This record gives sequence, structure tokens and C-alpha cells, in this order.
Amino acid sequence: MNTLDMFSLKGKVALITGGRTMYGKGCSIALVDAGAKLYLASHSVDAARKTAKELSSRGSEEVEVIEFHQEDPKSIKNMVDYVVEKEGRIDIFVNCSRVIPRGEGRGWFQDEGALEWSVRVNSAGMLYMNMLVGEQMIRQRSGSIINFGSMMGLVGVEKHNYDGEPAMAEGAHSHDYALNKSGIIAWTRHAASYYGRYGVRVNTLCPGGLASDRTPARFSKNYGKHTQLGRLANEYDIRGPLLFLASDASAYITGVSIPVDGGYTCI
Amino acid sequence: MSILNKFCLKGKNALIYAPQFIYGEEIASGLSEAGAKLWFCGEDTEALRLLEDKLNASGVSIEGVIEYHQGSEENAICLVRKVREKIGKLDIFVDNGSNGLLKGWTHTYEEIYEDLRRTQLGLMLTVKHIGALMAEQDYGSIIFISNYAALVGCDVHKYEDNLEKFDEDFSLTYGFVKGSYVNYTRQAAGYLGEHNVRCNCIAFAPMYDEESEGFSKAFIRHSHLKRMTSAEDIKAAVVFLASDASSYITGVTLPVDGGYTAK
Repeated sequence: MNTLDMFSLKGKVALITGGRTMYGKGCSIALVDAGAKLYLASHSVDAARKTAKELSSRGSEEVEVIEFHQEDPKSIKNMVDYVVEKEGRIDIFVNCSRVIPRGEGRGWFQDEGALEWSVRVNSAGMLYMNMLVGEQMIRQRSGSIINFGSMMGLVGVEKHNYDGEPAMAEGAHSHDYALNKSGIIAWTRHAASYYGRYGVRVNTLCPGGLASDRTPARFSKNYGKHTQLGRLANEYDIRGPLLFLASDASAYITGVSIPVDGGYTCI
Repeated sequence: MSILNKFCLKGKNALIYAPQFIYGEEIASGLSEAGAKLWFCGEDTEALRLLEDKLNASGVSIEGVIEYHQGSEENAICLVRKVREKIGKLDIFVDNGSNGLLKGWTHTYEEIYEDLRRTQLGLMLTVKHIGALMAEQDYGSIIFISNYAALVGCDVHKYEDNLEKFDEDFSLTYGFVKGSYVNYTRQAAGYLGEHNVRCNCIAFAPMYDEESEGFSKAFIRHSHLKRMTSAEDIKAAVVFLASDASSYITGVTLPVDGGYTAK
């Protein structure tokens, strides 16, 4: 096989949560560009349809939207069942949805409401959807699961990134984000061990901060100094690592968490 | 000051959450032997009292048991109030509550949520309020007790003759809960550091278990030191991180596993 063909996703069925914006959109683009049939699960159906239309114009397959609410276990099950009923399989599952906790208090002072929401949605919901997708992949005896950790699952907060940005600094010491992302990284190894005998791979991407038009210039400068490549991530940086883990190019890789952070965590 | 005095915990007050779980008895004995005054807290007061009686009989004195139902902000605030009343200055807090209740991989959403509510939500609320108390004091050491699954996956091949233990260790939430401590330790250390409050985690290997002999033998074969964790290993590691001997150490997860995760 030609090496580049190992990265092709032609004939593969992919399901992505949170694939409409930011890093998720970069993942969706990579999956479509590589030829996968993509199901885009999102809580914002109208906006997702616009994204799906844009994505469909890039590839040979129509991108389908599934309404999905991570706080609702029935919705999670419906999402998985829908793809299995339509396609009979899920080859690639990319989970990059994370719902910002709904509650009061920021940073260290997050209240019970915010923390409970995060545990219910971002932790329990995450494990539940992985379990359901995993059941299907066990039946197929194949599959690639990719979760989203974060470089904030690997290191603690660098306070000076927020110099001159007090509003951002206030939220930096939250409890739930580090706990959840650290858990995802360890669960990746745990699940890789469980699913390995069925030919199912489980890996995680740990991206750094992503530049957007809302990123304060001062934060970009501070943060850039902490990376080895001197900048925040751009919209293209996630595509290659995602496609590598999704495709057969990484057929012997399971249980790993790859930092995609410009060298933020290497020092 | 003699270096040995740095390990001494005389005059220090320690509170252990959920000491009835594995490692708890050894943690309590170690802190006590090093001179700390000890209190227990947790939901299962009957189990705590039984442990208190057992330890008292072996010469380890427990100052008191505080009923604490982890999982709500109100209860965490109430715990801190009781700590102020009964203990005063709290120097050491050990969280030994990362033992989930789930067995096996497949569960309903509600079962998964309940397991995480107790272990994750409860942990965050406890640390938020205990951490704030220690920050006020400008002194404290918080220690999370996890195990080797925080650092590596469990190995399915080690469970071939023990399906019950397989179901315990391969619960859906097990690796997630054990591993969530690693970077939460760094996160908490980051906030509490400027208040002279340290936060560390210990990833123990299992203790020898005759009922899981096949697993134990397989585990030992994979470790560098060719044995499992002993009571002394547990006592020494906890006393080190609780004491001023580790006064410049914060945000770390210390493997105490005979080198199991070193290869």
C-alpha cells in the first residue's frame, strides 16, 4: 500500500460530536477531506446544517447532522443508534464536545451547580457515549475512538499567561476542567487495554490554546512565549494529528495522548 | 535541625477522608506513628468507628470521627465548620475516597453519573473548602490517594484466572477516576501554592491479596522490586508528603509501586 493511502478514510463511517466550531470543525474538515462519510452531532442543529453544507461541498459524501444534547442520555443513545441503523457500523468516533458548566462562581470558586453540571455532562456523558460506541465497535471488531483531552490535562496553570487579562485569570483555576481532562487521558490507557483485544483503538488529542478572532492580543503574546513554536494553535494544526489517529496510518497506536500544543508541555 | 525531625509530625493535626478503604489503615498508622493527631471523616461512620476501635486496640489513637457526606457544597462548608470547632488548625488532609462502586464495563447512564458524583463532585467540593481553610492558615498539605491505574492502564492479561477482580478493575469509571487526580493535583497546587499549601498525590501499587494470587503473581513479575506494596511503603510515603521533609514538593504524583510504572 502506498503510504499516503494509509491516511485515506474512503469507505469509513465517522461520527463526531462538537464538530461544528473551533477544533471540532478542523476535525470535521480532516475527516471529510480524507473521504469519510461524516455524521455531525450537534446541539445547534441549524448552525450545524450550515457547517454540514460547507463540509459536503469539500467531499464526495453528504455530511449528515444529528441533533445531540450531551446532558441528555437518551439523546446520546439516539445519536449512536441513528448512525448504526443507517450505516451498520461506526469506524471512527471523535468526541470533542465539551459543555461549559452552567453555574455560579469562577475559577477556584466554581459553585456546586457548575461542578455538578460538569460531572454530569462532561464526565458521565463522555464515558456513556464512549461506552455505547465501544459496544458497536466490539461487534465490528474494529474502530478508532479519539477523545479530546487538553494540554490542561497534562500541566497546571501558568498564571503569567493571563497577565493584563484579569477576567481570563479569574477563570483559570477552575476545578472541573483539569479533573476531567486528566481523567480522559488516564481513561484512554484504561480503555485501550479493555478494547484492544477486540481490535478497537482508543487515543486522545491534547491540544493547546486555539487562536480565534476573540483572543486578546496580550494573551496571545503571553501564551506564545510559553510555547516552543511561539504561537497559539491555528485552525489547521489539529487536522493532521486527527487524521493520523483516525486512519490506519496509526493502526499500531492505542492508549496514547498526543499533545498538539506547539511544545507548551515539553518544558 | 536533624533531618529526621523534618519527618516528625508532632504538633500537627491530620484529617483522613474515607480511611476504611484500602491503604487507609496504614495511612492512619503511619501518620500517628510520626506523631500527628488524627481525625477521620466520611459517610460510613460505622466503618470508621470499627477502624477507630481496631487502631485504638493496636495503640494508634484516633481523636475523633466526623460524619461527612461528600457531594454537596453545604456539607463541605459544614465539614470545615466542624474542623474549626473540633480540630482547630488543620495541617494535613488525606483524601482516600477514590474507590468507585461500579464493577464491570457496561452500565446505565445513571449508574455512571452516581459513581462520578460521589468520587468527582465530592472531591472538588471538599478540596475547594478544605483548601480555602488551609490557605487562611498559610499552611497545609493535601494528599490524594490514587493507584497505579492513574499512570498506566490495567493489563487484561493479568486477570486471566480472576474474573471478579477483572470486573472490579475494568469498571468503566475506574481509570477515569484514578487518573483524574494526576492533573487535578497540579491544578490545585497552582492555586494553593502562594498560600503555602501543598497538594500532592500518591499512586500506590496494590497490596498482596491471597484471594487474587494469580493477579498478584503477574503484577510482581512485572515490577522491578519483585513485590507488592507493603504497609511500611504506604506509611513512609504518606508521612514524607505530609511532613516538612517535602516542603518544596507540590503538584506531583508519586508512584509507590516497586517500579511497575517505570517500564
